[in-house]
Amino acid sequence: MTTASPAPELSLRDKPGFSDLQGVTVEHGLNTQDMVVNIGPQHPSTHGVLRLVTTINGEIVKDMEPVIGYLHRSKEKMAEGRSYFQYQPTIDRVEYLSSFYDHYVYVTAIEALADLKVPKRVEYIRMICMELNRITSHLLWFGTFLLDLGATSPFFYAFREREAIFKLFEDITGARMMYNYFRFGGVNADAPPGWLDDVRKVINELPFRFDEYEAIANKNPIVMDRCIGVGVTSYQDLLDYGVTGPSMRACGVAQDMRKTNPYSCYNEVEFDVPTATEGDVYARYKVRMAEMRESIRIVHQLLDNMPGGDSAELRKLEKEHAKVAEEIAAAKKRVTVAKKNEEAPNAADVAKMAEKAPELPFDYRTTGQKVNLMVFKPPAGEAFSMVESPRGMLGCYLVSDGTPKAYRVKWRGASFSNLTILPSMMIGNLYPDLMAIFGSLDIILPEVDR
Amino acid sequence: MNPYNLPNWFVWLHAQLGFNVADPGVQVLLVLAWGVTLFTLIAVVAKAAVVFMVLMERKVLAWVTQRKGPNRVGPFGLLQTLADGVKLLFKEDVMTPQQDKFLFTLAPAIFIFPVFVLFAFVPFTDFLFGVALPVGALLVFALSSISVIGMVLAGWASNNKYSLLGGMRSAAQAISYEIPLVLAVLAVVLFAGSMNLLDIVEAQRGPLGPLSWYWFYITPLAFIVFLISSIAEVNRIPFDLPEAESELVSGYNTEYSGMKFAMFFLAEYAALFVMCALTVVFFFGGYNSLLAGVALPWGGTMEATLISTPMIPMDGEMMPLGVWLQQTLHVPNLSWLLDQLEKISWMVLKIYTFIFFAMWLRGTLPRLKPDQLMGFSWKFLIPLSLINLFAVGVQRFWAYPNNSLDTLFNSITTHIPFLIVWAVIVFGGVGVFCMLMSRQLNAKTRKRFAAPSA
Amino acid sequence: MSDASPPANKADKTPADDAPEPIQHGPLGKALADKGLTLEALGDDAVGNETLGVACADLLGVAKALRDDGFDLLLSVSGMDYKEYRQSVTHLYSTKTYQTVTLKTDAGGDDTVPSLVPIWPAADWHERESYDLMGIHYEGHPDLRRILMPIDWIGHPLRKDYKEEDPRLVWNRR
Repeated sequence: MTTASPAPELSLRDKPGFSDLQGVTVEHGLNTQDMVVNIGPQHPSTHGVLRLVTTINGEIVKDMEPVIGYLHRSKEKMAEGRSYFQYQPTIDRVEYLSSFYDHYVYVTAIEALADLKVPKRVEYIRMICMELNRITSHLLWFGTFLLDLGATSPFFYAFREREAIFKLFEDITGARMMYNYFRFGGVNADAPPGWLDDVRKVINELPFRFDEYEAIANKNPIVMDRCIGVGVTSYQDLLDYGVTGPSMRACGVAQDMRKTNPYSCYNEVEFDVPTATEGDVYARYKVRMAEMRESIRIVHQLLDNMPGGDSAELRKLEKEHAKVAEEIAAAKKRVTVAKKNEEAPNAADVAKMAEKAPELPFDYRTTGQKVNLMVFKPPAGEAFSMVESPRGMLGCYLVSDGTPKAYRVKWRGASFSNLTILPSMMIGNLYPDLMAIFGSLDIILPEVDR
Repeated sequence: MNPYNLPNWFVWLHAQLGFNVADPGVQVLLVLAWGVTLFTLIAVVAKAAVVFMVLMERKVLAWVTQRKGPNRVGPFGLLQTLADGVKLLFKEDVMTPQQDKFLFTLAPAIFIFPVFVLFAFVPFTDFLFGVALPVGALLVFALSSISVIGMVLAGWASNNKYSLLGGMRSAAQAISYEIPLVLAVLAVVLFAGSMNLLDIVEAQRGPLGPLSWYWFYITPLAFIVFLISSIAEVNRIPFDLPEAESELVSGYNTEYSGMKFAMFFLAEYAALFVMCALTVVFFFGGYNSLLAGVALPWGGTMEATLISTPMIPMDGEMMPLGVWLQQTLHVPNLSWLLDQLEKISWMVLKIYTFIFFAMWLRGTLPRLKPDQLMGFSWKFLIPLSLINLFAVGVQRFWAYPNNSLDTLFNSITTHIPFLIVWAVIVFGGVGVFCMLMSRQLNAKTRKRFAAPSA
Repeated sequence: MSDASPPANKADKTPADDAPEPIQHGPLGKALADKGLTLEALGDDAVGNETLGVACADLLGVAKALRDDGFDLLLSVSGMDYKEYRQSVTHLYSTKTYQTVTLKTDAGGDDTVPSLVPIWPAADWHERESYDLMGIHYEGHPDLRRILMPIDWIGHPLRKDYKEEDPRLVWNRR
């Protein structure tokens, strides 16, 4: 249960200890006094604008209440005011560290509603993007988590690798962070020629970097002292608070949507779901580090099995097909309107030509059906699509009434639920543990407030 | 002639200027004049050191994190710190009405004053030092603990809860870490037989060269304890709890801006410089060079041999370079000057080595929690330094009763039983404590929560 | 595809009752109905999650039965505004069978729906959000107050008829 007691609105000031001179308690024969520290909304380690009204006694946290909403940009209301496609660019801002996932849930919800078929190549490109995005998100988490613990250098190391992946994103989407790349039934554009090799180059390098990170942090006695046995949660607690993602897997439960409800083409790739049994901060750390390696494993398989291969070859193939198609069309034309002095080609020959050059497989395409994005109207209905984002289960509940605008879009952000457990984990712990525990939950405030 | 123990050269200088230095009244004035001179010198030296250190820190951290560091202002960014200083100078000095104005202003002064005074105690050479008091070692730590009052005051007067927490943490930290610090130095004092920093440096000049410096010669334990405690004493990562950035925003100096903040900033770096200088003085031979006092098997010292060895051909015959220089340049005490230069170079080099070490640590380690910080001091460092003190006591009064370092080499056989006892105590102590620590860690690991499987 | 979709009749249609013929219960709904619980079959949503309509009075019973069936994770509570009435939509997930189920509860005229906090504590913040943005009151919620909007905000912004008319706001003070 959250700590919030039944209280009327405007009650924060009335809480005991809000003014300094209340809540005097006697402990160990000392007259101690509770103090309310208002951590945030601007604070170095709240990762955004979160306010934690914290009652501390000395350094011990007695009570904590998260106050959110400082970053509320009414994303859900915005969806009702613009067309499905116009809403897309704003989705990136729902969760800017792994926005491919938000796009994916939105796009898949619409694809399910409108029954759009998605070519395999598209799914593969999407999966590569998402898995790389998982790595960048976890890298940022690694950097900021250790920064919260006081180590400054890993932050820069993590950003170095993150930048290399952002370069890949920039090549394929045109943007480093705000991608807006997935489309209904496809992606915006095919990967540029040579992109797959670039990806391979980067992810071949990454495991060595991860080894370096683990050499810095894994056996560091200070990191171990601050993480092991801190913020321990049980599986039931996590369920009660709706916490998902790496935090849940750190409790020994392999709950990963990619395995349990395989979406996209995740049933075609081999990977493990890293788990740990301890349920503490260190376990969450280990799970995330292992997840990055699994993501690399997935991306390797996707690159190897990409339908159509590199886009340079695909373009060449497409050109050949277009040439043949042109010839056929010309021949067909000549069949129907043969000129005076010209011998009309045999219709059977033309049919043979067409047989020889079949169309490119559907799976090689980067758009399923041509969709007119401006007037796109999925039929009335609703869809709740989910995805395993780096922070847990991310869902999008989309209700359509058949008009070009969504009737309702509801985001199920993983951070929103993950944040609810923070007070119960913090009470009784030391104030500096807040940074370890809060950091280990990997909460991103835009997703909480939306 | 010199009842106030002023430096001889200062008195000599004023005698040359026509003062009657034998007059008691003039002597009092001389003391005041020396104070002013000293303060000016220290202010200049300390600020120069800090300006360089800030740049160095940024460059070192940039190097650790694979960046370039400041490189825009001046060549190699040398003027960056000055530019920052000017910026801070012109910044608005923000004070809110709720703050205790008097204490708020007093706090940085209290913080910075003892640190600057400490500069006077650092013997850069056997000639270049502010004061050499017989109770130097004691006074140094007495002064360095005054700074903490400044921090606590700043935390209290800021009317900011983060500052208050930072101030309280700094008080707790100072109390915890001064004990092992002083206990480690006590071993040094016990061994050197003096609390005068100059005597301590001189006592480290031994036939083993760097090995006869106290970091090795007494016990490495004392050195390790001192090094850890000194980093805690100047609030650097991993002990920077009073200004833990990710927890307390900026700790005790959250509310400070402009020149007052600059004073805290300055004092912090100056304190780091002084602490590293003291580490060098107590454990790393002070201004002694690597070769100072090293005995050669065929007699003589290596230093003297090296100085007299380089020969140059002159007027058809070979003569030592040093002698030739002295004759050519007509500097009567050139060798003394060179000696001083060499000593100050060694001192500064050693100090900056330790400063670099502290910066390296900052780029490497995370921060401890307050309870771990206290536990580390009270459960680990203090018992360790007590064991060390006992071992050193045994060593001192059993092995070298005459305080003569040569005895070790003259009668090595008599020391064998002692060495055995010494080794057992010291390394046994270290072993037991490491075992205890690791067991504690293992117990923590074992106690970890086992989640029910799904 | 998009051009082929039939023009929606906005006047009398809401997505929920678009279905032309009565829908049979899915396996989950059947199992619950066999236990004697009253629920309305609403078919599957486009992704394939079974959707159950539950009346306010039956909600807690159905919820308890679902929790005992292994739906231990409450994913989200979404408030819906269908102009004539409000609806609370709850998405549940089972970490045993990996299924998702949607519960739809129409609020009565007083916009009140029983709170699911006693069954899934995770519903706490989600219901607060729904109350904040949609104005649905959750009966039995321990701490029902605004969560995203400022505590003195007027109105519930996600309602279809919401107009920002707070006289305290600068841009409304002409």
